[in-house]
Amino acid sequence: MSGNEHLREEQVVPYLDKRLGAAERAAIDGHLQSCAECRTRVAGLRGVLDVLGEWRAADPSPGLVAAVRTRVEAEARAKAWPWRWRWVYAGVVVAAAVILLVVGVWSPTPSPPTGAGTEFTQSSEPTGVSDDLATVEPVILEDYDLLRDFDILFEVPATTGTTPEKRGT
Amino acid sequence: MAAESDEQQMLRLKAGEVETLASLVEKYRTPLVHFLYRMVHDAAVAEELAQEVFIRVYRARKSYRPRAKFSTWLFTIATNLALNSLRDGRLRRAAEMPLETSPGEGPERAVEATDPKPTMEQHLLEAERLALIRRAVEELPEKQRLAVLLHKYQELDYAEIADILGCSESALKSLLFRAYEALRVKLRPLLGGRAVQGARQ
Repeated sequence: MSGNEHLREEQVVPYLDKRLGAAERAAIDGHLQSCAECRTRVAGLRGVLDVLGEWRAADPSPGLVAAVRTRVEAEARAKAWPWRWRWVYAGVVVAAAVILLVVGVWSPTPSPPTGAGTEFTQSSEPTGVSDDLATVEPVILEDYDLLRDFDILFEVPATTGTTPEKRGT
Repeated sequence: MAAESDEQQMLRLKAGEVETLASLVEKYRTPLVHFLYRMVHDAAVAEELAQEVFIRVYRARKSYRPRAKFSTWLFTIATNLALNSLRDGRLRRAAEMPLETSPGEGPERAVEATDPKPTMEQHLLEAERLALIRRAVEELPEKQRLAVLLHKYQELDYAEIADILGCSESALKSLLFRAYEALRVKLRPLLGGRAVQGARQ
Protein backbone atom coordinates (compact mmCIF):
# COMPACT_ATOMS: atom_id res chain seq x y z
CA MET A 1 0.00 0.00 0.00
CA SER A 2 1.15 3.53 -0.61
CA GLY A 3 1.46 5.99 2.24
CA ASN A 4 -1.72 7.92 1.31
CA GLU A 5 -4.10 5.00 0.96
CA HIS A 6 -6.31 4.10 3.89
CA LEU A 7 -6.26 0.55 5.18
CA ARG A 8 -8.53 -1.78 3.28
CA GLU A 9 -11.19 -3.72 5.19
CA GLU A 10 -9.48 -7.06 4.71
CA GLN A 11 -6.15 -5.74 6.03
CA VAL A 12 -7.29 -4.53 9.44
CA VAL A 13 -8.05 -7.80 11.23
CA PRO A 14 -4.95 -9.64 9.95
CA TYR A 15 -2.91 -6.60 11.04
CA LEU A 16 -4.39 -6.81 14.56
CA ASP A 17 -3.82 -10.58 14.58
CA LYS A 18 -0.20 -10.06 13.53
CA ARG A 19 -0.72 -12.40 10.63
CA LEU A 20 0.67 -10.18 7.90
CA GLY A 21 4.00 -10.51 6.23
CA ALA A 22 6.79 -8.25 7.43
CA ALA A 23 6.65 -5.95 4.38
CA GLU A 24 2.91 -5.40 4.52
CA ARG A 25 3.04 -4.84 8.24
CA ALA A 26 5.78 -2.25 7.90
CA ALA A 27 3.78 -0.43 5.21
CA ILE A 28 0.70 -0.29 7.45
CA ASP A 29 2.77 0.86 10.42
CA GLY A 30 4.12 3.66 8.25
CA HIS A 31 0.63 4.68 7.15
CA LEU A 32 -0.70 4.67 10.71
CA GLN A 33 2.00 7.10 11.73
CA SER A 34 0.56 9.69 9.43
CA CYS A 35 -3.17 8.83 9.25
CA ALA A 36 -5.18 9.63 12.37
CA GLU A 37 -8.37 8.21 10.87
CA CYS A 38 -6.91 4.74 10.33
CA ARG A 39 -5.11 4.91 13.68
CA THR A 40 -8.41 5.57 15.46
CA ARG A 41 -10.11 2.78 13.56
CA VAL A 42 -7.41 0.23 14.37
CA ALA A 43 -7.31 1.31 18.01
CA GLY A 44 -11.10 1.00 18.22
CA LEU A 45 -11.06 -2.54 16.91
CA ARG A 46 -8.19 -3.49 19.19
CA GLY A 47 -10.31 -2.27 22.10
CA VAL A 48 -13.24 -4.37 20.88
CA LEU A 49 -11.09 -7.49 20.77
CA ASP A 50 -9.89 -6.79 24.33
CA VAL A 51 -13.40 -6.28 25.67
CA LEU A 52 -14.69 -9.41 23.94
CA GLY A 53 -11.98 -11.34 25.76
CA GLU A 54 -13.78 -10.68 29.03
CA TRP A 55 -16.54 -13.09 28.07
CA ARG A 56 -15.68 -16.55 29.32
CA ALA A 57 -17.98 -19.44 28.50
CA ALA A 58 -19.15 -22.27 30.71
CA ASP A 59 -16.77 -25.21 30.87
CA PRO A 60 -17.99 -28.69 29.99
CA SER A 61 -19.06 -30.94 32.82
CA PRO A 62 -16.64 -33.72 33.83
CA GLY A 63 -19.22 -36.26 32.69
CA LEU A 64 -19.14 -35.30 29.02
CA VAL A 65 -16.51 -37.84 27.99
CA ALA A 66 -18.32 -40.63 29.85
CA ALA A 67 -21.66 -39.58 28.34
CA VAL A 68 -20.25 -39.75 24.83
CA ARG A 69 -18.66 -43.13 25.56
CA THR A 70 -21.97 -44.49 26.88
CA ARG A 71 -23.83 -43.34 23.79
CA VAL A 72 -21.21 -44.74 21.44
CA GLU A 73 -21.26 -48.10 23.25
CA ALA A 74 -25.06 -48.15 23.11
CA GLU A 75 -24.94 -47.50 19.37
CA ALA A 76 -22.32 -50.18 18.87
CA ARG A 77 -24.40 -52.67 20.89
CA ALA A 78 -27.56 -51.81 18.99
CA LYS A 79 -25.76 -52.49 15.71
CA ALA A 80 -24.05 -55.66 16.90
CA TRP A 81 -27.15 -57.21 18.51
CA PRO A 82 -28.86 -58.78 15.50
CA TRP A 83 -25.53 -60.01 14.17
CA ARG A 84 -24.50 -61.52 17.47
CA TRP A 85 -27.82 -63.40 17.82
CA ARG A 86 -27.91 -64.67 14.28
CA TRP A 87 -27.07 -68.26 15.40
CA VAL A 88 -29.90 -68.19 17.91
CA TYR A 89 -32.32 -67.10 15.19
CA ALA A 90 -31.04 -69.84 12.89
CA GLY A 91 -31.32 -72.44 15.70
CA VAL A 92 -34.91 -71.50 16.48
CA VAL A 93 -35.89 -71.74 12.82
CA VAL A 94 -34.21 -75.14 12.41
CA ALA A 95 -35.76 -76.47 15.64
CA ALA A 96 -39.21 -75.31 14.58
CA ALA A 97 -38.75 -76.99 11.20
CA VAL A 98 -37.67 -80.25 12.84
CA ILE A 99 -40.63 -80.21 15.23
CA LEU A 100 -43.07 -79.65 12.40
CA LEU A 101 -41.46 -82.43 10.42
CA VAL A 102 -41.61 -84.88 13.35
CA VAL A 103 -45.23 -84.02 14.14
CA GLY A 104 -46.11 -84.39 10.48
CA VAL A 105 -44.52 -87.86 10.24
CA TRP A 106 -45.79 -89.33 13.53
CA SER A 107 -49.26 -87.86 13.86
CA PRO A 108 -51.97 -90.53 13.11
CA THR A 109 -53.80 -89.47 10.02
CA PRO A 110 -56.86 -91.47 9.00
CA SER A 111 -56.50 -93.35 5.77
CA PRO A 112 -59.55 -93.20 3.59
CA PRO A 113 -61.62 -96.41 3.20
CA THR A 114 -60.36 -97.39 -0.18
CA GLY A 115 -61.54 -100.96 -0.60
CA ALA A 116 -62.05 -104.45 0.75
CA GLY A 117 -59.96 -105.36 3.69
CA THR A 118 -59.63 -101.72 4.67
CA GLU A 119 -62.27 -100.95 7.12
CA PHE A 120 -62.82 -97.64 8.79
CA THR A 121 -63.38 -98.49 12.39
CA GLN A 122 -64.54 -96.04 14.94
CA SER A 123 -63.69 -96.76 18.53
CA SER A 124 -65.75 -95.48 21.39
CA GLU A 125 -62.75 -93.48 22.63
CA PRO A 126 -61.77 -90.49 20.48
CA THR A 127 -58.44 -91.22 18.85
CA GLY A 128 -57.64 -87.93 17.21
CA VAL A 129 -58.91 -84.74 15.74
CA SER A 130 -60.13 -86.37 12.55
CA ASP A 131 -62.07 -88.96 14.47
CA ASP A 132 -63.73 -86.36 16.63
CA LEU A 133 -64.83 -84.38 13.67
CA ALA A 134 -66.21 -87.49 12.06
CA THR A 135 -68.42 -88.19 15.01
CA VAL A 136 -69.27 -84.76 16.33
CA GLU A 137 -69.82 -82.76 13.23
CA PRO A 138 -73.01 -84.50 12.08
CA VAL A 139 -74.51 -84.06 15.55
CA ILE A 140 -73.81 -80.38 15.44
CA LEU A 141 -75.38 -80.14 12.04
CA GLU A 142 -78.41 -82.02 13.27
CA ASP A 143 -78.73 -79.72 16.24
CA TYR A 144 -78.35 -76.73 14.04
CA ASP A 145 -81.12 -77.92 11.79
CA LEU A 146 -83.27 -78.55 14.79
CA LEU A 147 -82.75 -75.06 16.16
CA ARG A 148 -83.34 -73.49 12.81
CA ASP A 149 -86.77 -75.01 12.75
CA PHE A 150 -88.45 -72.52 15.05
CA ASP A 151 -91.87 -73.98 14.49
CA ILE A 152 -91.04 -76.53 17.09
CA LEU A 153 -91.13 -73.80 19.71
CA PHE A 154 -94.74 -73.15 18.94
CA GLU A 155 -95.58 -76.77 19.37
CA VAL A 156 -94.36 -76.86 22.95
CA PRO A 157 -97.06 -74.71 24.53
CA ALA A 158 -99.66 -77.14 23.24
CA THR A 159 -99.50 -78.78 26.63
CA THR A 160 -100.16 -75.46 28.39
CA GLY A 161 -102.68 -74.28 25.84
CA THR A 162 -101.03 -70.90 25.18
CA THR A 163 -98.51 -69.52 22.78
CA PRO A 164 -96.45 -66.38 23.39
CA GLU A 165 -98.55 -64.44 20.92
CA LYS A 166 -101.75 -65.67 22.42
CA ARG A 167 -100.58 -64.66 25.89
CA GLY A 168 -100.75 -61.08 24.89
CA THR A 169 -104.25 -61.27 23.55
CA MET B 1 8.07 -39.36 18.15
CA ALA B 2 5.69 -36.69 16.87
CA ALA B 3 2.23 -36.62 18.38
CA GLU B 4 -0.43 -38.20 16.25
CA SER B 5 -2.53 -35.70 14.33
CA ASP B 6 -6.30 -35.50 14.66
CA GLU B 7 -6.64 -36.75 11.11
CA GLN B 8 -4.53 -39.82 11.87
CA GLN B 9 -6.66 -40.52 14.92
CA MET B 10 -9.79 -40.24 12.80
CA LEU B 11 -8.35 -42.75 10.36
CA ARG B 12 -7.73 -45.14 13.25
CA LEU B 13 -11.29 -44.63 14.40
CA LYS B 14 -12.40 -45.37 10.87
CA ALA B 15 -10.37 -48.57 10.96
CA GLY B 16 -12.34 -49.70 14.02
CA GLU B 17 -10.30 -48.43 16.97
CA VAL B 18 -13.25 -46.95 18.81
CA GLU B 19 -11.18 -45.92 21.82
CA THR B 20 -9.48 -43.28 19.65
CA LEU B 21 -12.65 -41.23 19.86
CA ALA B 22 -12.07 -40.70 23.58
CA SER B 23 -8.87 -38.76 22.99
CA LEU B 24 -10.55 -36.57 20.37
CA VAL B 25 -13.42 -35.90 22.77
CA GLU B 26 -10.94 -35.10 25.49
CA LYS B 27 -9.06 -32.67 23.27
CA TYR B 28 -12.04 -30.85 21.78
CA ARG B 29 -14.70 -30.96 24.49
CA THR B 30 -13.75 -27.61 26.04
CA PRO B 31 -13.45 -25.51 22.85
CA LEU B 32 -16.54 -27.17 21.46
CA VAL B 33 -18.69 -26.56 24.52
CA HIS B 34 -17.41 -22.97 24.74
CA PHE B 35 -18.34 -22.36 21.13
CA LEU B 36 -21.76 -23.98 21.48
CA TYR B 37 -22.41 -22.17 24.71
CA ARG B 38 -21.74 -18.81 23.08
CA MET B 39 -24.07 -19.82 20.28
CA VAL B 40 -27.02 -21.10 22.30
CA HIS B 41 -26.45 -19.36 25.66
CA ASP B 42 -27.41 -22.41 27.65
CA ALA B 43 -24.83 -24.65 29.32
CA ALA B 44 -26.99 -27.79 29.38
CA VAL B 45 -28.01 -27.44 25.76
CA ALA B 46 -24.42 -26.70 24.74
CA GLU B 47 -23.33 -29.90 26.41
CA GLU B 48 -26.08 -31.94 24.73
CA LEU B 49 -25.12 -30.50 21.39
CA ALA B 50 -21.46 -31.26 22.03
CA GLN B 51 -22.38 -34.88 22.71
CA GLU B 52 -24.35 -34.92 19.49
CA VAL B 53 -21.38 -33.52 17.56
CA PHE B 54 -19.15 -36.34 18.77
CA ILE B 55 -21.82 -38.93 18.01
CA ARG B 56 -22.07 -37.56 14.47
CA VAL B 57 -18.31 -37.84 14.16
CA TYR B 58 -18.52 -41.45 15.31
CA ARG B 59 -21.36 -42.26 12.91
CA ALA B 60 -19.57 -40.65 9.99
CA ARG B 61 -16.22 -42.32 10.70
CA LYS B 62 -16.51 -44.83 7.88
CA SER B 63 -16.98 -42.14 5.26
CA TYR B 64 -14.26 -39.88 6.71
CA ARG B 65 -11.72 -38.54 4.22
CA PRO B 66 -8.91 -36.34 5.54
CA ARG B 67 -9.51 -33.63 2.95
CA ALA B 68 -9.62 -30.79 5.47
CA LYS B 69 -8.45 -30.32 9.03
CA PHE B 70 -10.38 -32.35 11.56
CA SER B 71 -11.20 -29.21 13.55
CA THR B 72 -12.78 -27.62 10.46
CA TRP B 73 -15.03 -30.63 10.03
CA LEU B 74 -15.85 -30.72 13.74
CA PHE B 75 -16.79 -27.05 13.92
CA THR B 76 -18.80 -27.32 10.72
CA ILE B 77 -20.91 -30.04 12.35
CA ALA B 78 -21.17 -27.97 15.53
CA THR B 79 -22.18 -24.85 13.60
CA ASN B 80 -24.92 -26.68 11.73
CA LEU B 81 -26.28 -28.29 14.87
CA ALA B 82 -26.27 -25.02 16.79
CA LEU B 83 -27.95 -23.11 13.96
CA ASN B 84 -30.60 -25.81 13.59
CA SER B 85 -31.30 -25.68 17.30
CA LEU B 86 -31.61 -21.92 17.25
CA ARG B 87 -33.78 -21.96 14.16
CA ASP B 88 -36.07 -24.50 15.75
CA GLY B 89 -36.78 -21.74 18.22
CA ARG B 90 -36.63 -24.17 21.09
CA LEU B 91 -33.70 -22.36 22.60
CA ARG B 92 -34.78 -18.81 22.11
CA ARG B 93 -36.22 -18.56 25.56
CA ALA B 94 -33.23 -20.26 27.12
CA ALA B 95 -30.95 -17.90 25.25
CA GLU B 96 -32.64 -14.87 26.73
CA MET B 97 -33.09 -16.08 30.28
CA PRO B 98 -29.52 -15.99 31.56
CA LEU B 99 -29.29 -12.29 30.72
CA GLU B 100 -31.62 -11.70 33.63
CA THR B 101 -29.75 -13.84 36.11
CA SER B 102 -28.09 -12.07 38.93
CA PRO B 103 -24.31 -11.91 39.13
CA GLY B 104 -22.61 -15.18 39.89
CA GLU B 105 -25.65 -17.28 38.98
CA GLY B 106 -24.81 -17.89 35.36
CA PRO B 107 -22.25 -20.51 34.34
CA GLU B 108 -20.19 -17.95 32.46
CA ARG B 109 -17.87 -15.51 34.07
CA ALA B 110 -15.77 -12.54 33.25
CA VAL B 111 -12.03 -12.65 33.57
CA GLU B 112 -11.25 -12.62 37.25
CA ALA B 113 -10.68 -9.18 38.64
CA THR B 114 -7.55 -8.42 40.57
CA ASP B 115 -9.54 -8.07 43.76
CA PRO B 116 -10.12 -11.63 45.00
CA LYS B 117 -13.27 -10.62 46.92
CA PRO B 118 -15.28 -8.30 44.74
CA THR B 119 -18.07 -6.41 46.36
CA MET B 120 -21.70 -6.77 45.40
CA GLU B 121 -21.45 -3.57 43.38
CA GLN B 122 -18.49 -4.94 41.44
CA HIS B 123 -20.44 -8.13 40.79
CA LEU B 124 -23.33 -6.14 39.39
CA LEU B 125 -21.08 -4.05 37.18
CA GLU B 126 -19.35 -7.13 35.90
CA ALA B 127 -22.67 -8.83 35.14
CA GLU B 128 -23.83 -5.73 33.33
CA ARG B 129 -20.70 -5.69 31.19
CA LEU B 130 -21.09 -9.33 30.34
CA ALA B 131 -24.72 -8.90 29.43
CA LEU B 132 -23.81 -6.03 27.14
CA ILE B 133 -21.01 -7.97 25.43
CA ARG B 134 -23.18 -11.01 24.96
CA ARG B 135 -26.12 -9.06 23.63
CA ALA B 136 -23.87 -7.17 21.22
CA VAL B 137 -22.51 -10.45 19.80
CA GLU B 138 -25.94 -12.03 19.74
CA GLU B 139 -27.37 -9.15 17.75
CA LEU B 140 -24.85 -9.53 14.96
CA PRO B 141 -26.09 -11.07 11.72
CA GLU B 142 -25.68 -14.84 11.83
CA LYS B 143 -22.64 -15.07 9.59
CA GLN B 144 -20.82 -12.22 11.34
CA ARG B 145 -21.59 -13.76 14.72
CA LEU B 146 -20.20 -17.13 13.65
CA ALA B 147 -17.13 -15.47 12.20
CA VAL B 148 -16.46 -13.61 15.45
CA LEU B 149 -16.96 -16.69 17.63
CA LEU B 150 -14.71 -18.84 15.50
CA HIS B 151 -12.07 -16.12 15.12
CA LYS B 152 -11.97 -14.44 18.49
CA TYR B 153 -12.81 -17.34 20.80
CA GLN B 154 -11.83 -20.49 18.94
CA GLU B 155 -8.85 -18.87 17.25
CA LEU B 156 -9.27 -20.91 14.09
CA ASP B 157 -7.23 -19.69 11.16
CA TYR B 158 -8.82 -17.75 8.32
CA ALA B 159 -8.82 -20.68 5.91
CA GLU B 160 -10.71 -22.88 8.37
CA ILE B 161 -13.32 -20.25 9.20
CA ALA B 162 -13.79 -19.44 5.52
CA ASP B 163 -14.28 -23.14 4.85
CA ILE B 164 -16.87 -23.47 7.61
CA LEU B 165 -18.76 -20.39 6.46
CA GLY B 166 -18.42 -21.21 2.80
CA CYS B 167 -16.71 -18.02 1.68
CA SER B 168 -13.29 -16.90 0.47
CA GLU B 169 -10.56 -15.85 2.89
CA SER B 170 -10.69 -12.31 1.57
CA ALA B 171 -14.47 -12.16 2.07
CA LEU B 172 -14.00 -13.52 5.58
CA LYS B 173 -11.51 -10.78 6.48
CA SER B 174 -13.95 -8.13 5.31
CA LEU B 175 -16.77 -9.88 7.18
CA LEU B 176 -14.72 -9.86 10.37
CA PHE B 177 -13.85 -6.19 9.90
CA ARG B 178 -17.53 -5.26 9.52
CA ALA B 179 -18.50 -7.41 12.51
CA TYR B 180 -15.90 -5.79 14.76
CA GLU B 181 -16.89 -2.35 13.50
CA ALA B 182 -20.51 -3.08 14.44
CA LEU B 183 -19.34 -4.30 17.84
CA ARG B 184 -17.27 -1.16 18.32
CA VAL B 185 -20.45 0.89 18.06
CA LYS B 186 -22.45 -1.39 20.32
CA LEU B 187 -19.71 -1.70 22.93
CA ARG B 188 -18.79 1.99 23.00
CA PRO B 189 -19.87 2.35 26.64
CA LEU B 190 -17.35 -0.32 27.61
CA LEU B 191 -14.50 0.89 25.46
CA GLY B 192 -14.19 4.15 27.34
CA GLY B 193 -10.77 5.61 26.99
CA ARG B 194 -9.25 2.49 25.41
CA ALA B 195 -9.79 3.49 21.81
CA VAL B 196 -8.66 7.07 22.36
CA GLN B 197 -5.61 5.87 24.27
CA GLY B 198 -4.82 3.38 21.52
CA ALA B 199 -5.20 6.00 18.83
CA ARG B 200 -2.75 8.31 20.58
CA GLN B 201 -0.18 5.51 20.66
